Amino acid sequence: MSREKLITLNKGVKKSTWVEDAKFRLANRKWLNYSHEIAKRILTEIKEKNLNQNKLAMAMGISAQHISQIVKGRENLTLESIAKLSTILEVELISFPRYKYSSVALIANLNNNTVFNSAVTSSAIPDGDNSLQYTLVIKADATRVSIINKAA
Amino acid sequence: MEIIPTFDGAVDLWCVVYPEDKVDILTVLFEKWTDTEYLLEFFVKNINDLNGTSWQGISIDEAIKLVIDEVYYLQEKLICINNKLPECWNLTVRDIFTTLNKQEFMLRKHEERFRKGKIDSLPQMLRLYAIELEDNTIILTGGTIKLTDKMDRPHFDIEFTRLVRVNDYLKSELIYSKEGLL
Repeated sequence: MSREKLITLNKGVKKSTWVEDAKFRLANRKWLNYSHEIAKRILTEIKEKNLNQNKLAMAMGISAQHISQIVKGRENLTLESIAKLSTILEVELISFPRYKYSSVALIANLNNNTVFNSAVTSSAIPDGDNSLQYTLVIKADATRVSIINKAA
Repeated sequence: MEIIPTFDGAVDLWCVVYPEDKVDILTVLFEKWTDTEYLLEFFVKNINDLNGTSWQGISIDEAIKLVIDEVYYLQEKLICINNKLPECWNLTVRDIFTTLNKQEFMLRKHEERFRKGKIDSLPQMLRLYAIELEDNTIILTGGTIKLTDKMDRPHFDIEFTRLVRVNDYLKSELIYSKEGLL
């Protein structure tokens, strides 16, 4: 009875808009989380450097509304914008953990006629040896490719 | 003031559109609880409450994460129920909430699969306030982040005022709540 009364009052016209917003948030959660993290740092720096959002907007050359969206954690910032904000606020807004490249053991059983001419290979093969025919076992890691077995 | 359905069709959960807001209260709450600026300001203002026994001195960063995780989980659950997805086919809105008192609801503890690590044992932060009608229809009036056991913080005054406003509106339309107000 109560619900029927509500339906009558609403005339079935209006409905909540939360679903569309929620679907957007759920679909974009990953970058929105990045945006929240950046927003927290910007807000803290604004306070610590005695700035305000208007001053930051002016320095960035964007509108106050745009800055407002950024500090709410809703803006899909470009790397260029992050760099600019970072320079103005004199703080790194994102950082990159040391990347651990997976150690890949590459076994290259090269045929006699194989031309081994990639940039990596040319640095891996000792100067002057390029004309030799090798079966090479090479190991690649983050910084180097080394010959660990060489058989003519 | 208007009261509109939360989903398509006449389902259990309805929400209020206050004249001062452009959109319904559920949309307003989700916007607010995913607004970094609002959350940071809120927790800076209420940092002493985070140092209480309930919250084990969690950081503002962790508190913000808790709120956002809870919001995402709530959104997912509501969409799941609305779309009658396989994992929610037998659930209603009522099933995902615990009623704390006549008007206060929070997400059910056992539904908290979204929590990981050291904050596993912490209580939920979000509270929804609603009036239940005689036919079990729930009308959402508001919500807040609750850091203390008692409703003794200024932000609860707003919630209480909203409950009274909505109750008065319902009475004026001859719609009666299940158990009266507070």
